[in-house]
Amino acid sequence: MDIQLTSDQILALAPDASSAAAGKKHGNTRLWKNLGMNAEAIWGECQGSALYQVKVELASLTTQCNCPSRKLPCKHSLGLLMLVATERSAVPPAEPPEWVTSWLTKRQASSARKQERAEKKTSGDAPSADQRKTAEKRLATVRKGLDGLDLWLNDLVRQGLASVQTQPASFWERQAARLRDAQAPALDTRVRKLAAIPNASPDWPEKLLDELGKLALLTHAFRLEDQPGPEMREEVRLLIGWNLTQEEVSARGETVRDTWLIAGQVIEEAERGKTQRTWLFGSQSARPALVLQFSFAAQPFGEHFALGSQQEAELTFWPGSFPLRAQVRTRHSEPTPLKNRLPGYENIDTFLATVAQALGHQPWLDRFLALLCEVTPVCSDEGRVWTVCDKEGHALPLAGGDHWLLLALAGGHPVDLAAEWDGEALRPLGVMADGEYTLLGRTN
Amino acid sequence: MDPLVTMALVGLAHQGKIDLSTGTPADELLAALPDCEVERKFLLSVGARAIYYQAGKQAQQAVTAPEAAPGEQLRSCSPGAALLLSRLLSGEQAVLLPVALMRMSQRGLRLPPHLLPQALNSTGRETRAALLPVLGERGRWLSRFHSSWKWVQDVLPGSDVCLPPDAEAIWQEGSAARRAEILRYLRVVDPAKARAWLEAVWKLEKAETRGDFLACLEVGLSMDDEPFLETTLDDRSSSVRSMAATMLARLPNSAFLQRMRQRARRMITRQDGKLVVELPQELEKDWLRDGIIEKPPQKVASRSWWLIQVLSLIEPAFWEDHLGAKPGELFKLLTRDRWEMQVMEGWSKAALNSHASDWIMPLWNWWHVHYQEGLEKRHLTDYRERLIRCMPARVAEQTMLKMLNAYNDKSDSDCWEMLAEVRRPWSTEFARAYLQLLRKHCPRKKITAESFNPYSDPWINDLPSLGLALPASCFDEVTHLWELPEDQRWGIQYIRNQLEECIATIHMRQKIDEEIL
Repeated sequence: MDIQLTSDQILALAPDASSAAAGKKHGNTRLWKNLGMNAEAIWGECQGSALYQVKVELASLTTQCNCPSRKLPCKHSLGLLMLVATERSAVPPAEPPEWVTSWLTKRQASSARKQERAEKKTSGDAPSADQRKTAEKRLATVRKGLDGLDLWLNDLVRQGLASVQTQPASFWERQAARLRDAQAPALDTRVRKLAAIPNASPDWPEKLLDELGKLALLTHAFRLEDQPGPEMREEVRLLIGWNLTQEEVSARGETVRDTWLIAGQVIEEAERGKTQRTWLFGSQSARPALVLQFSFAAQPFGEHFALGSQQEAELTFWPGSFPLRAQVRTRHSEPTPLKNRLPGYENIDTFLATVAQALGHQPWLDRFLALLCEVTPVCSDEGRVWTVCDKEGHALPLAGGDHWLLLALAGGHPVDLAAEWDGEALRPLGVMADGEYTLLGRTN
Repeated sequence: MDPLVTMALVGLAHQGKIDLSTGTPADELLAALPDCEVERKFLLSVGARAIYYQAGKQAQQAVTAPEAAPGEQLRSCSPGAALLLSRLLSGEQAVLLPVALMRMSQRGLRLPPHLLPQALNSTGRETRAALLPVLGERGRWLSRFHSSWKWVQDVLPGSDVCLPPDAEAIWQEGSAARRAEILRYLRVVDPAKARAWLEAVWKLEKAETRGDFLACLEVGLSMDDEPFLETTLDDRSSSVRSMAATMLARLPNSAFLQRMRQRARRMITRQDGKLVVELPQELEKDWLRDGIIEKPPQKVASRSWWLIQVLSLIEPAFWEDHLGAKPGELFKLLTRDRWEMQVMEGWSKAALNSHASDWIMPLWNWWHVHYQEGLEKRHLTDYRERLIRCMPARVAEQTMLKMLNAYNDKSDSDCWEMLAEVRRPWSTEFARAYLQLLRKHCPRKKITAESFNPYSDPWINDLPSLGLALPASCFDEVTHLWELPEDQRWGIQYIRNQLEECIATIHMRQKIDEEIL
């Protein structure tokens, strides 16, 4: 196995800008000794405030270092990866020392245990009487919570949305908390987000009304019982807050093996932590996948991706009417940088038609992966207005912010763009220009 | 506003008649709903309509895109070089950024597109000047779109002798900075034509612009320019007059310089083996016309000020003729009176202006002796620093070495200010000598002692700039200067940091040489 990541891809693994900068500095042979690599891992000892033992498993990019930093990957691990990317000769093939082999063995053992647990679930014994009772109890609680929500919604439109302008944040939080108590955490989040809409834009009444309407559709769908089919039921249960554990997903979701393009990542501040969305696209299956991770209280994210690369892997999708969210089951190859044209939609109309189809399966979808081929980024009005245009003279707006890097990379020529579409604007994730893929929008 | 949104804003309770139709296929779904409250029906139909609209979202009409960037003429640098430049552009070892950029342009390389936004955001004259030749077509194209990147447009593309085809149009319509640039280009190719252009617009320009344009005549300056320059001495603006005087002073045979020499001849004469200074009490009209500024800066007497101005314009060789002595001897003939210092200042300026190489060293020695004898540093400039800058590198190094050899703990730290003026990188010989002195003054035993205060030690304080000055041949030596103890004392920490900064600079310089090829 051979690691082929570029320095940009490695720096994209950094949890923040200061780690990235420190990582660049640590990619310096003078700080390292006992460097080596084999098919599975790279390792070395880094002279920091003490001598740290640093190791990286290549396929999963899992890093480990015995420094006291709580960041993951830490600056030493990033430095080791940078060193491999920039000064390959400094890291010779070697037999791993004991501290590396023991770590690899431990990792393999733990992943085997996980697999076992998941398989046990599949073979699944029928739920016990206790489990059934808990499930029924929860169903009743949720039902009650949804009844409350419906009344609240009706009340809102009966009294008029004009009144919510003057409501404090607690107005929304109270209803959200009731849903949390009713064990419908996904609805709790949905209601909490409503608080940001009033007065945020000139057309806020319309936006708010649309969201309220979609909430009503969701409770309506839940009450339809078996009518919409098992996949839709699964989807609706997820949207209300019946979370699946990783094991349940492995047991019940569809697993797809493919060479996955890892198009990019968006990290957003969420309540009490951060949300990370990693967008992938199957090069044979032509299906998008979203790996969603949460980090509470600045804990590091568990799964790492070499953004802007491709990797053969098995992903398991959450069950539903339009399976999009996925988790990594097994990685079968090391990541290699994207070099060719992106597979994607040949024009904007085709993309929008695909979005329409997806909405037909899952009307509450709010984000899509847009891989647009041969679009030209255009900057107007000194950088206040940004669009991408296709060959047919159609355009979509880019999300607010700074797209100078994208403009510099394209130079007014058509490029292949990966972006996250939220129904209004594109948020660039990465761009393929002149045979090189550059990540965009991650604030490193 | 959409009637359903209006209805929702006002509230269904406050409506007379409620019409729930959305005008979309969602209405059919609504009709199939079981009977329920009107609010519920309303919400479900706006929800369905929202999704219907979302699915029917259409693209905008594309705006007319500006022309794409033209193809590149220069090679792109290697990925390793790009990584290095991104570190330098983010402020790491920022002093080395111009060095790296210069090396890029010497090798005919350009920045890769992904570094352009960061590069274009750079400020500072030196950095920008070094960036221009490596921006490539893409960089120049990109700079058009951002208001704070317009600085790129103020300088013209092409090498210094290639006049762009639309030069005349730019001269007629461009910004002042671009016009000045065009004028400089044209001066290289056709000095007379450039002068004719300038003469044609002279009366129409603002004083500030006139001064800037006049400065452009320094390119290809010759006696042909004298008649025009002579007329500009009658300009309304004193700054234009003084610029005209600066230009004329560079023409050894100009009538202007003849007049100045005439004045100078009367100012300093040799009488009984001594130099005597005589100055007019009032500034005469013709002096004013020749760009002599009447009002002195603060803390300078009027007549001293006039003296310094006149002296600084005249090539020092004139005095050797007029007073019949070589510079070193001349200085001995000066009487220690109120004029001595002013004469030396005027001569120093003159020597610096005209690069009079045989005056530089004697002048330096004179100032050095006087500073050592306790001359107060009331001057804004220590002329030793400016003079050492004009010496050939070897001479400057030898001069420095003399000063450094004489250094003891009671000396002041002028040395290091002057050291910064010696051309970098140093010669191996000088660098070795410096490192030897460094070890002599800062032996390990001394600097690790409790009583040693590294903050006030100039040798230790200068370590970071040593990283910029040492030649590659001494890199090894500096990394093995001292084995510092594993000590957390602040003094040791400080020395370690200083040394690390020096070594980091050296590593970056090595990287620049390795990566930019």
